Amino acid sequence: MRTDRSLQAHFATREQQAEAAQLGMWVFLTTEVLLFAPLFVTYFYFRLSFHTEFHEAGAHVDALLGTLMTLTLVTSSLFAALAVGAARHGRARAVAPLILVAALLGVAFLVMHGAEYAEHARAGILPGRWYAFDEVPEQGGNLFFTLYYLTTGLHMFHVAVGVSIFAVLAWRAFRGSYSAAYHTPIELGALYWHLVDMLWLFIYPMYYLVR
Amino acid sequence: MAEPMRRVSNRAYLLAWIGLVALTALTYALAHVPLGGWSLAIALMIAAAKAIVVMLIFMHLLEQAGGRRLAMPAGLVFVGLLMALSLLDLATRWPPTAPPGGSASEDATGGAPEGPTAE
Repeated sequence: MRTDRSLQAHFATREQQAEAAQLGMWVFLTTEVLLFAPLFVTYFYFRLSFHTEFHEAGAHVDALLGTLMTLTLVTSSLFAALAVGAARHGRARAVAPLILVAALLGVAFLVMHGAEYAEHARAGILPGRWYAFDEVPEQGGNLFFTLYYLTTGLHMFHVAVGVSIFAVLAWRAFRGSYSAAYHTPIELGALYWHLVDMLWLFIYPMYYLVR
Repeated sequence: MAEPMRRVSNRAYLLAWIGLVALTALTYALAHVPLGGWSLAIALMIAAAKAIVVMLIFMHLLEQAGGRRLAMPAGLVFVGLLMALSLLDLATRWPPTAPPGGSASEDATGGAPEGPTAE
């Protein structure tokens, strides 16, 4: 991994190399949006078809917890952005703790999500054929919660990946691998984290605020 | 060659965060106001505003130049088109051409398909 510090032969300058890496990341992030888009379309379609059931089902998702989770991710994004700022200005010592805080907030998000899943599972709110919740009609209610598990599950997976990336970045930052001249991994890791945050900003009103 | 790069400052990060928290609080508050069919549309518009703040400030779209400035917005335009046109198709179908509403839960309910509830 040491080699990526140096300038590759096919780039003229270090800046050009960093910019190419950023462009690649932006294109990748766009494909991530494409990955979530069908889940969003499915949601809107079935919300049109099962309007009443979706509202009944939505009332069983904790809006306050969802809001807390949103604030956690947004705050985590702030720390990721501050870490990038610190790396750019060569404040290498500050980078590792800032990234670590961002990662820990990500872990807090996962814990809250886990607790929420557990509570739903106890009530019989499970996806697909395991659905056993009497308070909302099976038709529509099952769809809502299956989509809820699919969408938030896929998002949760992305959060877990982001936390792992941040753990590695924090360790490498702690070891002094990054400087004002070379910190592309921090920039790219933060970009990924912000996209995961952005996706959640849309998931939050779709599943947590349906009343 | 390249114009001097404007850097987003820590102050901008903090202001963006305050804005995001405020908009989240607003979304939560509006969820308790009966707005009927508009509630989701308004909540999603606030989400879009938040996403734009995240992209411009946290993701430094403000300071990008050339292709990097265009990649994400252009991608979003096309994803938006795909989603809008798919939904336009689905929303304007009349019942006989719509897939049976219960197709996903047919097995569990003994296969009694009801059409999607009108509205």
